[in-house]
Amino acid sequence: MAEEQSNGHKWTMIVDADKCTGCQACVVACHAENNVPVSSEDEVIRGRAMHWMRIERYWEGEYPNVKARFLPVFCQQCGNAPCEPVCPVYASYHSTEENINIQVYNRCVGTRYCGNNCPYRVRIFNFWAPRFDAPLEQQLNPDVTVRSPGVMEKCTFCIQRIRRGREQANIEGRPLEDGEIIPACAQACPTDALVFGDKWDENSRVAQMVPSERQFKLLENLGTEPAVYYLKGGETHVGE
Amino acid sequence: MRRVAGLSSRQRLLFGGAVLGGVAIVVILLVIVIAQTSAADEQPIAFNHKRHAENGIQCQFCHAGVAKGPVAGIPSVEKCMGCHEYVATDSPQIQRLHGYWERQEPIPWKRVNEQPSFVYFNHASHIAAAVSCGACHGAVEEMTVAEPVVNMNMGFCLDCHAQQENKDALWDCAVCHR
Repeated sequence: MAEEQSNGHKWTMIVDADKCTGCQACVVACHAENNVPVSSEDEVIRGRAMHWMRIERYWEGEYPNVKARFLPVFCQQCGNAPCEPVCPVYASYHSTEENINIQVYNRCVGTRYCGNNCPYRVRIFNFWAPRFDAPLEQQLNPDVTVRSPGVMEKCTFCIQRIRRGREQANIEGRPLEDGEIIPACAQACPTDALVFGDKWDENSRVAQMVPSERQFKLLENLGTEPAVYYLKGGETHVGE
Repeated sequence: MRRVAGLSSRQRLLFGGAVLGGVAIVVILLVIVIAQTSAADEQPIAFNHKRHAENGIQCQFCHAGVAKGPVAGIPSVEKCMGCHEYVATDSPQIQRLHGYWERQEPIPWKRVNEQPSFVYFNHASHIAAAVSCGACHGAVEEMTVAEPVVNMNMGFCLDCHAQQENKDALWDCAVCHR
C-alpha cells in the first residue's frame, strides 16, 4: 500500500482554518454533489447523521472576548489508512493511481470495521435506504452511485470529478492542469479556505502551500499520514 | 375417477367445465405474459442498423457524443428527420417517426446495452484508445435488430484492461466504480 511517486497523482487538500467562516457552504455542496441524503432530526439524535464533511466549532477566549473557530473535517485520505487493513473484503482500499482511500460500494458488505477504526470518525454507515423527498430526487448526481443500505461511505475527494478531469485530459491528449479538478466543497467555498491539487506536481498551488509554517495535520501523532493539511494563524489554537 | 364416475351427469358436466375453464385461463395468462415479454424487447420503431450502415452512414453520425464524453447518445428526432423528411417517407416505420415529429415527442427507445448503476463507463476514453465500437457492441452494422452480443461484465472489461500498456492504472477500482 506504499505510495510511489512514479505513478499517478497525490491528491491533497489544504484547509486554511483562518479563512474558514463556518458558513457550511461546503457541507451543502458536498450533499448535492455526492447524493448524500439529508438526515431527519430523529436520525441525528440517534447519532446516525449523514455527512461526508462537518464543521467542528471551537470557542476560544473568555466572555466577553469570545471567538468562534471552525475546522472543516472530512476524510483525511490517509497515506497509511487505519480503515484499509481491517476491511475483510477490500472494499476500503488504497488507490495506487489517485493515492487516496477509495470505498468500493458494490464490494462493501457492511461489517463497519473501517468506521470503527477511523480516528477521524468520517465514515458513515447507511443504516437505512437513502431517502430523497421530491423534488430532491431530480437533482441526484448521475456520476455518483446512490448507496444502498448496509454499506459504508465517506468523502472521496469527489473521485467522479477527478476521474472526469483525467479522462478529459487524456481524450484531448494533454497533461492535466493544476486547478482543473476542484471538489464540490472547494468550489463552493466563498473564502477560498479549501485548496485542492496534486502535491506531486511541483508547480501546483497545493505543493507550494504545504511547506507553510502554519501547517499541521489532524492527530498527526497517530502516523496516519493524512493528505489533508490544515493551516492556522498565530492566534488560533485549533488542532493543538 | 371412481368418485367422478359415480356423479350425476349434471355434476360431471360442471366438473368438466371447471377443468376446461381453468385450462383456458392458464393458456390466456401464458399468451399475455409471452406477448408482454416479447413486446418489452421491441423498439417503438423497428430501426434497422444494417440498412443505415449499408448506405454508408458512420456510427458517429447518429451516436455523436461517443468521442466527446461518457455517453454515446441517441440521436434526436430532429436528426432522424434531417434525412427522413424526404427519404423513405412511404414506409410505415418512417410514418411512425413522422408521428413523433408532429407530436413533438421524443421516441421512447428501449435500452439495448445496460450497466449497473455503480459502474461508470466513458465512451470517449475508449475511442481515444482506438477501441473499435465492435469490440464491445459486436457487428451492429450487420444487425437488423440491435442486440447485446457480449456479456459486459467486470471480467469482460478487465480481460481487455489487463492487456493494455498502462494496465496498472486501468486496474484501479476507481476507474469504473465511484
